[in-house]
Amino acid sequence: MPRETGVPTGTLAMLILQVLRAGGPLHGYAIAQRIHLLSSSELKVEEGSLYPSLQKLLAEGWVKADWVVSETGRKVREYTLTRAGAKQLDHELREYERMSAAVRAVLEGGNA
Amino acid sequence: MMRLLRRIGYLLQRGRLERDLECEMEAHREVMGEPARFGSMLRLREEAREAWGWGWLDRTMQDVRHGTRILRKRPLYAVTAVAVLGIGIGLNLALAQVLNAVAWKPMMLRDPDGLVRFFRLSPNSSSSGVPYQVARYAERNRTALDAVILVQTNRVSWGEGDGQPAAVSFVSGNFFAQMGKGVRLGRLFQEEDEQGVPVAVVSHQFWSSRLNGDVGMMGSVVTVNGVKATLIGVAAEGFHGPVEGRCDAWLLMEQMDHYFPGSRERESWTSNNVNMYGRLKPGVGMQGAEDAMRGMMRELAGMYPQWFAKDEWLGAAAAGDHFRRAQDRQMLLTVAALLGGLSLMVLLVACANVAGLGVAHAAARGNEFRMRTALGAGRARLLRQLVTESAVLSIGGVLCGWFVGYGLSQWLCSVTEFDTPMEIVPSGRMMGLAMGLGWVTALAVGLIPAWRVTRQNGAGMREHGVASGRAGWTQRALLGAQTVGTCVLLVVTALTARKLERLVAADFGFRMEGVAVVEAALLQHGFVGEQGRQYWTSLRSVLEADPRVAEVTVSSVAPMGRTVMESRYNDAPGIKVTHISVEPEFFGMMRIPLLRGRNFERGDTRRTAVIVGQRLAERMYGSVDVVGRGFPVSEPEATIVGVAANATLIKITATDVSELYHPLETAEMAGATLLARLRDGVGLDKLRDLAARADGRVRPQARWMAADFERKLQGPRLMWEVSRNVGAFAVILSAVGIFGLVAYTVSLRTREIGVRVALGAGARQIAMLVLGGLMLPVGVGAVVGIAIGTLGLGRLLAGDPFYLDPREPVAIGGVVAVLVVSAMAAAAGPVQRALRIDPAAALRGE
Repeated sequence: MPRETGVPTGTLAMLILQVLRAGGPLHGYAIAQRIHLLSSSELKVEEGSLYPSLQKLLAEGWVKADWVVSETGRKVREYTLTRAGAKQLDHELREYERMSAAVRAVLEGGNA
Repeated sequence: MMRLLRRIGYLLQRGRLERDLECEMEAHREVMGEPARFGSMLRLREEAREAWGWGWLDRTMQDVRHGTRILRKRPLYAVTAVAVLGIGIGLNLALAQVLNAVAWKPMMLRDPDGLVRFFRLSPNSSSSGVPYQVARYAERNRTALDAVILVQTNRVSWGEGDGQPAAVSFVSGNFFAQMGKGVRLGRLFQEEDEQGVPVAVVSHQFWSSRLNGDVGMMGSVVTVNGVKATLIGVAAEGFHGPVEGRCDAWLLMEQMDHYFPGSRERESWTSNNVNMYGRLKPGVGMQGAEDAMRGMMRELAGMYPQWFAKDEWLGAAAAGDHFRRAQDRQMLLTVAALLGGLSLMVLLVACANVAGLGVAHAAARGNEFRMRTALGAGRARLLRQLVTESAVLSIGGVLCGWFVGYGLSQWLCSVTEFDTPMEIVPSGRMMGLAMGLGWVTALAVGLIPAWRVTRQNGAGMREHGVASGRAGWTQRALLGAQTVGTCVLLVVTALTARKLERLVAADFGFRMEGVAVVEAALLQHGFVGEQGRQYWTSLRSVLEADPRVAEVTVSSVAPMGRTVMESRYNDAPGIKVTHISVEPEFFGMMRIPLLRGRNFERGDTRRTAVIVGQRLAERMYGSVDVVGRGFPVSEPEATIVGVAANATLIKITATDVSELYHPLETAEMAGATLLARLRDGVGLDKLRDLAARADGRVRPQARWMAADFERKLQGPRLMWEVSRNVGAFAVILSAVGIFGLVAYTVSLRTREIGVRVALGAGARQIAMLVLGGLMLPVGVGAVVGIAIGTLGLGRLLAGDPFYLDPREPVAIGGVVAVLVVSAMAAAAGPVQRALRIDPAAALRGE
């Protein structure tokens, strides 16, 4: 049974942006589910951090939100990645790679 | 930028966006398997709100609403605080308004940067005007100036019949082209108008008030000084030219003899009656203009040595400095600094008072703060809350202060005849000042109680009734600060009172009772020199023939008249010398004794004889035995024939002036004044009747010299009234502060007092217990305040233009008495309450 952990600190925004880039417009619940799914159930997005994070992304202009009618006929609010958001995502991915490589280098170097 | 716009957009549509978020979260919850895990929607909404960066605004509004609620529950405290702050802020704003109009606000003139005004200067004297012919010479021979503009202020009667007085400026034809700021109606002067029919332009103020804003008046004929002129235009609103004070209308200087028939002013090379302005050529600075003028004056001295000395020059002052020369700016700065310091002192007293009230007010909310701390509020949170509450008070204070300031400045204008309109709608600068004062008061008034309250770990004030040696030391310090400010203001009040008292009772060295002053504006009617002498001779013979007139003399200016030529001599430092030309009868008639030497004789001239005042002799020569010596010492221009006893003829408030008497010469007769001592019971109308018989062309004006004296007292009277009201305000505030502190002490130490009374303490001991905390701050505050007022400010107050002598033990004694009496009166109530405490009830904690 996969252990459910919260999303690593500082990565939620990046994950949300990536999910939106890959999966197109999604509403909040769907974003949380997608992250959970793609991480093979390793990562669980707490609702308490999802919505504040989405609001921050809206404030920064990295996503935009519109009300649409879903397939089930409910009104839902879908988030879409903006061009600025795509740029920000690229930037964060680069940073994340850089940090990961640095950490990996330390760990591998320590084992040598 | 976009981020900011998005944030502002959120703020404007907050309601809708928050509802959207709520719906969204609700929908999310519904589809969750375990809705309970969603968490608190309220907390999530708050966190979401923080993400937009407006959390601080929410918290501030919360504090403001809370503060307003608290203040509504304590209306007396709120109203008192707002009123006190309002008066303190208002006083400062009123002063700033006046200073703004007088010194800071750019003058309402076209392109003021290029405009300068010229003063006629020599090593020993200065004059603000130049002779008409000098100005025209400068215009014809200008090298550094693009234009020369002439202005002469005057008074005329406007309207049919006797008309109403109007303040006018006679100007050169290029005045509006060079200085004007646009036209409201009709047109303004052009240079060609100088050769045409008499025309007039009126000010906007005059047109809307005296002429009822009648648009149809343009082109109509008006009556000025009994003759006709055509009204051609109304100047732009607020324009009054380069002169300070009111200007109702402008007339052309070239047409002056139309209004004053026979006027020879425009022929004058000697009377400094015209204000001369210039527009600098591009690239030429003030120094360049002064150099050019110096050259011109040297030319004139060469051509007309009888009228111009070789060491004269024309000094310049820029429009940016309101056409004030350096020494006038210096004096204005000194006065402004002093008045500014005093009014800030009032604000200090006001803030200290309100802060003291605030400390007591916060003390009463101990439970509230304890609860807040228990709920997790940190020190910073409590501080922020209290400062926000005091900001609410400050906003009220600023609004109240704005109206107080407006009212005060309007009153000042009305009593001083200083006629620059004050603004009710704030200019940017005034608004900035008001807000600045508001911030300062908010911090001053809020931080102290806030710091005090939170210092006790947020536990608020002590339990009711538990004594503490350090109880209220903040309040004692605030009371001390208030007392310092109050005493400084009281010292100024006492000194102005003593000054006025001395002036009213003073002996100025001459007798003015029953003396009337007769002025005839002969120059403007075309009398010069010998004609003037003949006029006065004729008038004198009419008067002397009448038994109701006891004595008559003529002098260049009347005692108690307006300022005359003033000099400073290097040989007599620190003394200002006022020149007055007199006939030999003058000294006898004014009862001024001659201490040495002789009176003037017929045949004495300016070049041969002077009589010096006693103070001047002592300062310049070290003795009064100076008859026969040259005056002045270093470069004698005349011989001293006599020494007159000190007589303060013109500047009655000053302590550093002395008179210098010259024989009255024929050339000065046209501008002279007649003095007549009337027998008891004789009225001015009799004098006017007699005077009118001398020459049908001239209508002399007569007034009592004593009335001129009263007019001179207006300045010191005004100073006394203002400082009395401000001093009273400060005393009341101090009394309130004392009352607050003593009442607070009593309420805190009720149990202790009950115990002591139960153990046999008498009334005296209880009173000392309660008042003990008062003595030190009030005592120290009084000593410091009086020291600042007498020693610190003493030098500034003793000089021009206040002339307040700080060595007044009676006055200082009065300050101490007022302070003690007000303190005792304020403390009486709470002390009485302490004495009436029932020990049993106190011990039960009631």
